[in-house]
Amino acid sequence: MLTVDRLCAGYGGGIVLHEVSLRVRPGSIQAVVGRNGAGKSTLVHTIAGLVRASSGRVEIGGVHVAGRQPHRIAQSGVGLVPQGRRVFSRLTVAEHLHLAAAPWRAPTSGGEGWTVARTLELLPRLAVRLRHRGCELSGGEQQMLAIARALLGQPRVLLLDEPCEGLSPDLAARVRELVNGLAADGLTVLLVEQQLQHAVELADRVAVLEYGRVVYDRPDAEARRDPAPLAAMLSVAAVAPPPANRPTPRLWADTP
Amino acid sequence: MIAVAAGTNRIDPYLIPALDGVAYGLLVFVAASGLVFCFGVANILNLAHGLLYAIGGYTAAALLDGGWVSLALALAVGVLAAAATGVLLAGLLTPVATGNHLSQALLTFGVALAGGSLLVAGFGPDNPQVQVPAALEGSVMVAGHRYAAYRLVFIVVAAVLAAALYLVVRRTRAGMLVRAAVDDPEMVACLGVSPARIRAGVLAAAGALAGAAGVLGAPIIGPGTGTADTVLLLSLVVVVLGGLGSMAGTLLAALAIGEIQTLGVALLPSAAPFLLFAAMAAVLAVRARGLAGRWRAA
Repeated sequence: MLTVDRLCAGYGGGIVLHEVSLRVRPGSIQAVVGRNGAGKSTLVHTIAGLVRASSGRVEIGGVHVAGRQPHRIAQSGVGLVPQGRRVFSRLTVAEHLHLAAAPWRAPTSGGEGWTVARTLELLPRLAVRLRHRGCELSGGEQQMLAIARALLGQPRVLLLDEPCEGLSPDLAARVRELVNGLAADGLTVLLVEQQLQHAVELADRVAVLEYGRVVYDRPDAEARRDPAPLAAMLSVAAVAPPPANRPTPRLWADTP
Repeated sequence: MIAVAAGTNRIDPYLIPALDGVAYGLLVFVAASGLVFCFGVANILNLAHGLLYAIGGYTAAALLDGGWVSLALALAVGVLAAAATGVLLAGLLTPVATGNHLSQALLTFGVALAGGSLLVAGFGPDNPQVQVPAALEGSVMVAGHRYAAYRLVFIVVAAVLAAALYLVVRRTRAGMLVRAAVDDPEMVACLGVSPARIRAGVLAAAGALAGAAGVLGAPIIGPGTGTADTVLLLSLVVVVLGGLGSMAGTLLAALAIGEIQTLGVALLPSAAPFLLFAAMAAVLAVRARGLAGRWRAA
């Protein structure tokens, strides 16, 4: 279970996320959609610890992790597939997997037992590219590698930031199928997606972020039944005025 | 035949300086590679790096008595002491590790001054003599010239150290972490690895390498009041010439420095005082990213 409760975060003195609250059940997919600059990636980065939470709570299986350093949050069972993949350009695929499956990444409580063999079985394309460096892979292969790297950390919660960005339609469909399968296996998935249609197809719940606030959060069935409000929120005409900025409270705690 | 002989005669006087340049360059490589990784991996400008070498040098002066056992002991003590100082530095740097380089430079420069004073207080202001093992005190014939046996052995040992460093970086999990951290330290943290541990590990390894260089290189760049400054300066030139985080660039830059300092001075004695920095300026003017580019860990 991933619980985000009244989470505020930002950069420098400015707030980007304004009291964002979400609850993602185990084995379900929560999609977060929104325009560019709405705070989607900031939300993912804050949950992963890469951006400091100024207030609010992030709970992984009931354990409060907001404010911890990224490596501590990763050890708590959070896997990140970042926007742009961010694979290590000079490391080979085999080295990525070797590093990601390191002994310090013991299975987290409730996490799946992902091994290199199981990961390669799921993502067979990587098996034939083991000796290739990250910078030599195609966009789709890099995305597979980023997912494999995250899975080998034995996550209970998987954060996916625009995993289909820049991929061909068939590759994007394969990635969506993969994410669906992972959730069906019990993984908690928070999916940031630009394409509303894909988000609605894949997710169990869909939330819309606008200027760092959750302005819509409903089950996918409701979004499918009545997509008009959702589409209206994401249309250019429906831009709400931005909320007033406020200084960041000093609540960053470096919990060891 | 006569032309070949004449050519050989022209090269002959420079053979020993060229060989000396290899020894000097490999010493600078072992000493400077730690600083390069500190910069490239941990993003730390460690101006106390020369102090780590000096610790090794003074350890050699204090413990070497002409026997092999004392050499092994000096190597162990020098490496451990310099590595421990590296870990201490990592601890001191924690508050400014993610800050700007000016804060790091001021802190590490202060440590270098304090550490240098402590070494002088402990070992005295005079440059101590270093006694190499008796078996290596003599000279051997190299292409008809007498050459110090210790330096020849040092070339082999330093080459082995360089090869070992390459294998560690390329083949071990620690080396993979180092290369990954050069690439994207945030994603390494997202793999569950503490950046503070990587920083401490890199500074300890940098200390160990500089300490080993200090012990083994004491007969070449001996311990003394100016040793730390000399080694730091040479290491910074290596960083500038070789590019950050590049082992190949570091080796190339260190060998270039070695040859400039020996062969270059033999060829152009009048330019000796500024030859090294003129070469550095020339490289920067032509190739600002260093000889081998940047952000490559092997």
